[in-house]
Amino acid sequence: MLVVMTALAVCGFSKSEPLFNGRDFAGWRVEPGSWAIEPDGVMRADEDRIIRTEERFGRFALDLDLKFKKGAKAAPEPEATPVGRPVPPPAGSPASAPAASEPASPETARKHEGKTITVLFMSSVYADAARETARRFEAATGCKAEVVDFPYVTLHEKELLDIATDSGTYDVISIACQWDGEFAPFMADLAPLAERDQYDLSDFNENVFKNAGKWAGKTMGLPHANTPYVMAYRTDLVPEFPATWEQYLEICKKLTDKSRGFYGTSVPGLKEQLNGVWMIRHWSMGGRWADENWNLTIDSPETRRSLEHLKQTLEYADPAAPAWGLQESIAAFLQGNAAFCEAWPTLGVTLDGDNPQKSKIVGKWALHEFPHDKTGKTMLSAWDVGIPRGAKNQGAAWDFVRMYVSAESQLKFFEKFAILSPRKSFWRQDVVKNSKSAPMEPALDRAVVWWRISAGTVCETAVRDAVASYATGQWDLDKAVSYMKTEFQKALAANPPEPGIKNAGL
Amino acid sequence: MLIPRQIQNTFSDRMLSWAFLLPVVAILTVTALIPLLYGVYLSFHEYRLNIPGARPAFIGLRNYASLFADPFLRQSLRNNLLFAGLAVPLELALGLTLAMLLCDAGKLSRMLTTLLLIPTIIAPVAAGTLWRMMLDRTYGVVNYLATLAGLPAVAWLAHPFLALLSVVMVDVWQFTPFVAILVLSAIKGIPDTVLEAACMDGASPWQVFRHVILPMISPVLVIVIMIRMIDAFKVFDTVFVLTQGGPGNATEMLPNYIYRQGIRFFNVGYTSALAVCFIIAMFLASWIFLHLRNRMLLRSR
Repeated sequence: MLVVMTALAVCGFSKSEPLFNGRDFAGWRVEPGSWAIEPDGVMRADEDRIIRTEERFGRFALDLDLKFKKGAKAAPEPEATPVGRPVPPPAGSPASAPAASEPASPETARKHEGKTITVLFMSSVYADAARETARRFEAATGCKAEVVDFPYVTLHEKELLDIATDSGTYDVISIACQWDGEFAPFMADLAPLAERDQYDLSDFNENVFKNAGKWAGKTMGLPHANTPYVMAYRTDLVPEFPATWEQYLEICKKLTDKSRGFYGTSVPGLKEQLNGVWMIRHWSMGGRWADENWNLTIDSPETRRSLEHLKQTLEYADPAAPAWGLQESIAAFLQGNAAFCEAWPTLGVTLDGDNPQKSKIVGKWALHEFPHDKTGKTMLSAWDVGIPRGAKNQGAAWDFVRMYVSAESQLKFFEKFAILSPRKSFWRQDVVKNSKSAPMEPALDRAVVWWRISAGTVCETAVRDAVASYATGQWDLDKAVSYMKTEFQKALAANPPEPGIKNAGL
Repeated sequence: MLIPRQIQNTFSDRMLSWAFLLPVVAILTVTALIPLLYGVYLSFHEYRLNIPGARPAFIGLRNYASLFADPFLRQSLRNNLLFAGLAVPLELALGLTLAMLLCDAGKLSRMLTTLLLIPTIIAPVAAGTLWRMMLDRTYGVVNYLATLAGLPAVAWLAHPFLALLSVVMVDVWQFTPFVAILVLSAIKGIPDTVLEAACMDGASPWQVFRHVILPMISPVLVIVIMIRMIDAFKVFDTVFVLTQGGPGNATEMLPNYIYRQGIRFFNVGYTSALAVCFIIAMFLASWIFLHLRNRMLLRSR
């Protein structure tokens, strides 16, 4: 990609001044070797590189002349990242997003010069967003951020092993909200930092923040991505979305044509995903794992009904589904082989659904909450980003966290990676309101997550084993339910919830 | 000029031997013995790493008692025994056949022997990933070839029994060449005169194999079986990548289960008990095989 820029001008309220003299980089901060000046007086970069002005501006308008070379695939993205106290929007203008997360004052810009932090995210668009942030972070603060990523299946142990031993390998980690209770004792409390820097936390959705980032009075992380679990479906094949699980099965049965290789639904059947699609059925049918005092209610008619329903659903899915991860399930839907897709849509469908190079269902899909059935509850997938207490560079880590969860970054992540933000202001942006992701906003207030206590991991694993073993015919219904109950009892006895913690979820 | 000295079992000779052994013993003590003893110590304690400030608390034999009450452990053990029971005999039979086919000294045999090593030098994780793609029901090359032959596409990794067979197949594909190489070395160690004598006595090829070659290489076969059997109970990477223990719990093996208890649940005490039992079982199995081998060696002398 070759993109060149020519004259740049900044217009203030009453005058304009050129920023680039056409000869050298006077007035610009440039990484050596990243940008060059062509003989015809234009700036050129061969790759995605940052260049910024030395001078800081207040409100301004920027005139940019661009010269594209043949084959260029993108244009420069001018960024205005305010440094210092946020400038309030002019009276009468649309409400602006909360202040950006740059270092607190001009004097502290590049205060982390020469440092390196290591940040850990799940292998997915979240890690891609972290890499994008790392570039901006380095340009703004002088601190290099090395992004490490692991797949979900191994992320829990990688993170817990580091923080439980205070080894300080990672300065920032992204935590799945269901691990909050287990990780909280090993994480730094961010509330004092937010208070010190007058960082506004009120823009985060209350339900999301309650479930991702806050635990037992501590702010162990700031939520950075959230998705209520919704389904994708074919609008050309399903004129009216089913309101109950029985209706859903009927539609799947009607549409399945095995001779053509077309199935009613596409389900991720690997254990760690299949338990999620069962939980949604269970909760929306009115089931609970335990009451608020942790008395188990897992052995219930709803548990049995939801298990049976899931097993029946698999009859209308590709026979290979029990071995599918998320990507295989999403791929089947995008290739036009299924009418519904129960895989997390934000990990592929929203990004590629309308990309003709990756999808055969362009313009023929939409998102919808799972069948409401009795309660309409769905699962919340939310991630919060925090700082381990053993982190070696807590100051730089805090600045990275703020940049990653800033309103500007979050909007950028949505545009580039289709990541949904937990910020209320995010959902008011036109680009979000008019997108296919918009139906997810109402579900955010009803979405729940399973137990976030320390015993939650063991219980969730027991659910995985029981659900997958039953769904694939290895266990009968009684054995599956009895196994869950026994393992829950053992887990709660070995690792009881902290005193005072009620079961606020399910 | 070096003057050879007859080695005698003097005190200084013994001291010299120990001096050479000492570095190795020291390293093994630090890297193997101390961790092993610490693991044994922890196996008698309740200790969970994910509880802040947790310390090992002595609970006697409770961790060991829990092993017998754990249904998932029984399932993992059953799966592992089935896996070993299928994979090892297959590897032995195929490896022996390959070795017999390659035992002449021709250039082609030597070239094929080198090529045979390729699956063995691929990392198990890479092999698992490769086979996961090849066994994909829709896009995998295995089903593509099957459909070309008029057979239906099979969901190899989605059916419990087929998934276990797939894991066995990948293991056999990867380690049969290893078995073949070891057996080939043993076959090439048989004196030519013995084989010539058998042929001169009118023995058929099958009789030469059955009554001459097989008995003479049986000590090596026992060692090969022992190594592969122990490896079969250590299989982790292939299963993790290929099936993650699924579908359901159909391919959950002992190492995957121990990994789950230790690294996922951070239940250090129970995991140590599992590991200690595992080591004892492997030690016993090795002792049995070595004893068998020694008896065979004595008999052949």
